[in-house]
Amino acid sequence: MYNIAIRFLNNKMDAEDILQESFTTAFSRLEELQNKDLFGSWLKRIVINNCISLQRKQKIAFEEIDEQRHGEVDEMDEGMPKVDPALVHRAIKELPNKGRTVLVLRALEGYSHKEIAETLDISVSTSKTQYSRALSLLNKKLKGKIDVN
Amino acid sequence: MSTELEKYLNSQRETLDVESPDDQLIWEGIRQDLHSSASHRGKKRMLIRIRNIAAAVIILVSVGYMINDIFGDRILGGGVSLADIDGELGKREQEYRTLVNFKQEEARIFNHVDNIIIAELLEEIQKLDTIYEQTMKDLAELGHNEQVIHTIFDTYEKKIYLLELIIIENNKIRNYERDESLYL
Repeated sequence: MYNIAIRFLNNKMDAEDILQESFTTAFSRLEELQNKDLFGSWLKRIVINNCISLQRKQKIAFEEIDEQRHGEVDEMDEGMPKVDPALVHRAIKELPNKGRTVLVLRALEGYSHKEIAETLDISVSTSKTQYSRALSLLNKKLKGKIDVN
Repeated sequence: MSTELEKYLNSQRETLDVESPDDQLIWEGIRQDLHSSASHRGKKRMLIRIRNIAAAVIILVSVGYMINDIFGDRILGGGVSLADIDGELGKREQEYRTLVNFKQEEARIFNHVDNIIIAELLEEIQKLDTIYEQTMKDLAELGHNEQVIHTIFDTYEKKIYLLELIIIENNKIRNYERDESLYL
């Protein structure tokens, strides 16, 4: 959960605060959870929602993007080599806030673009474009750091 | 379009969790939060009521502030007080407010609003006022929230800075006019 938070917020203290707040919320509202087996995914939702809420407070706005460039991904990954996960994690954290949020939600947390659009209050097209850009940028960052064949 | 990188992220999701938090600190915080919520459950309802009343008061005062801001002075912050949330914060806000008032008076003495730089600075102050109004709404909604409080004080600091720039610009214009009159 901490890694989810820090990938969203890129700040240790904020991530720890969100984690604490999310656990407290989850524990104090445990009776609302019908199926206790779903505690993990429920908590994850709370963490993600709290992260997005904090980002909003920090005035990270998601502007609508008209251009439809979401099919475009740089000539990338002609096969991913073995990559140190720590390197990928760090590269994700270095992405711009908006793109990082969409990328984390889509690629790591399995949200659909429709869900992302609803969660972040943006259009599906914007979500796709942000995602595509973030993915492309991440690829560039990794290419600069590792030996991609 | 599924790429190798996407596939990698998807399949290696778990291995990317490479950082670990200060567990002890977080659990201590959770323990304290839960403990205080359990032992103060009775008081909590009362506090919620009080907070609702306080929020209503803050909203009313905010509306007053907005009306004052729209029809009155654009520079001066006024109306809502953080003192409703916390005495110390209220004291700090009062200090900022006094400083804003002081700087505003100083800026107003020779306020060359037709000067393009000063006009721009006043426009920036208007934007800050809008942020302030929005933040006060957040405060009314969220109560004691570090981020909101930080934004309020940040707004004051930026406003003071902009007022200082107006004062400097006023002084420049005044000195220029004075120098010019010496040559006439």
